Amino acid sequence: MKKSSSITLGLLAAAALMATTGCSRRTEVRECVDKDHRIVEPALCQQQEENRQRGGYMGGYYPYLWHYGGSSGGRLGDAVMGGSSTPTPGMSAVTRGGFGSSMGSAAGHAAAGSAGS
Amino acid sequence: MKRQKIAPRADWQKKVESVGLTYHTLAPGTAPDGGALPYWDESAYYEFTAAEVDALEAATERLQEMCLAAGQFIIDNHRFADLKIPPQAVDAITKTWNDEPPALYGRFDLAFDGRAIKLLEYNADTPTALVEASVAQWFWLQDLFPQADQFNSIHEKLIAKWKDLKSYVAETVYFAHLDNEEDAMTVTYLRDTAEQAGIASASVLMSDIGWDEQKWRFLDLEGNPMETIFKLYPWEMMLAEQFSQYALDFMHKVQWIEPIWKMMFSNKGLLAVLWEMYPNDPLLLPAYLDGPRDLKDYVRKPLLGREGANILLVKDGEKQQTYGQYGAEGFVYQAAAPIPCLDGNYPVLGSWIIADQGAAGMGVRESDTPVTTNTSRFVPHLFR
Repeated sequence: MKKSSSITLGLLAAAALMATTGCSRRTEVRECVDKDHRIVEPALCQQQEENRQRGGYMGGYYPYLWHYGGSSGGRLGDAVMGGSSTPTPGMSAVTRGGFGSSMGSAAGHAAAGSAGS
Repeated sequence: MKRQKIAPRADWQKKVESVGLTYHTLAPGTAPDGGALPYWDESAYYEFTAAEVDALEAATERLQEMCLAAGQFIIDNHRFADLKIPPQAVDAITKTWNDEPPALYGRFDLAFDGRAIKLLEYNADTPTALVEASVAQWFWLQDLFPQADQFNSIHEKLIAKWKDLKSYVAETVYFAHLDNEEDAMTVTYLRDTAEQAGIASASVLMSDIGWDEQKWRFLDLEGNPMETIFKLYPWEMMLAEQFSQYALDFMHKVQWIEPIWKMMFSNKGLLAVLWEMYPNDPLLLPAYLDGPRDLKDYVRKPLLGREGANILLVKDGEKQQTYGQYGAEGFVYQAAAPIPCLDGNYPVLGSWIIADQGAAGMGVRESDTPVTTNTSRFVPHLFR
């Protein structure tokens, strides 16, 4: 026989169930927030990261943070409650977003943004 | 090889969704009436003979051996520039080739007309259509033809490979991907096989991988160092992005799966290197980097093209072309393959190889034209 004798699915079956019942949350919500934890345009965080990468001096003051998780209305200006932000204490120099930009992100089949081939 | 028509299972969508193939239908607008075409198409199946499958299995094993020899040839003869591989990646490619860090899998795309088997390309870095080939068509077979066989032990061989890797990888093994359904389900399936081999795993978006500028290491969202990262994301794109230098400079701190030496294989320039090394080999088509030479019917493919984009097919003096964003890096010119047309469909076989486990199985994708694109359909198979 050249076929698998049995296939048991764990993670995949659970992910499929979540995806088809609308309960899927593949990724933690990430928002760009200001010092008051209010949502601002993501471009402000991206621009800040790029400046830091290029060695731009901002006086040690970084007004925008990526904030992970938590809850909010999801609109510009909404306050984010809960979750956590980077940089966190002791990890003040973590940069994110340095991979994954070439194909962007899109929902759907390979026709819409898969990195597979 | 025959194409057999068959009535799809009732509720086939729910059946394939339950085993992970949630992306079974293409985007709206792909059908002539404005609706969506199926991507998973079980209104037909491909039937092979045992002898045909034996031949495909042997061809896959042999092609893998030839590619490994080609990798050494590229390094020994410093042919990286021919493949437009960035100079800054050469040291890392050479070192990982020699050190042999973990590698997992690849998929050869083959033309098969019932007799001749020809290599079309090797998707060695980020092959997909894995859930379809390994899982969905296996369950289809169990439902409809449980007494028949299928060239598909991908699932078992993936688990066996992860078991082999367990003592080499750093746990947690991270599985990085883009935020789309197909890629998310593909890495979830790979995580599933790793977990079944006893390896702890986690998913992360490529864009969420962090770089610790103080300790010079990659971090997950919780700030944990990432030392083994499977990435469903091509190396050529990683090397064009902000963290590329970190990945290259600190290659010794991270096991990337697939390793960077796969850049030599996932590049279609490999086809010309293989033809140079093995001229007139029955598994190969003539292929050149400097133009079509004396080929009358040929396909011009971008070195780093994906999903049938930017392909130019010249046949019988007529030209067919697909469009996209690739080609600036250069092209390979390959003789047109003898892809059969069955009921108006052109099948291409994707033959899977699992590192150190050998040829593992295959999937069939068929198209309305000789060029396989991202709207080509996956059709299950069996053999008797």
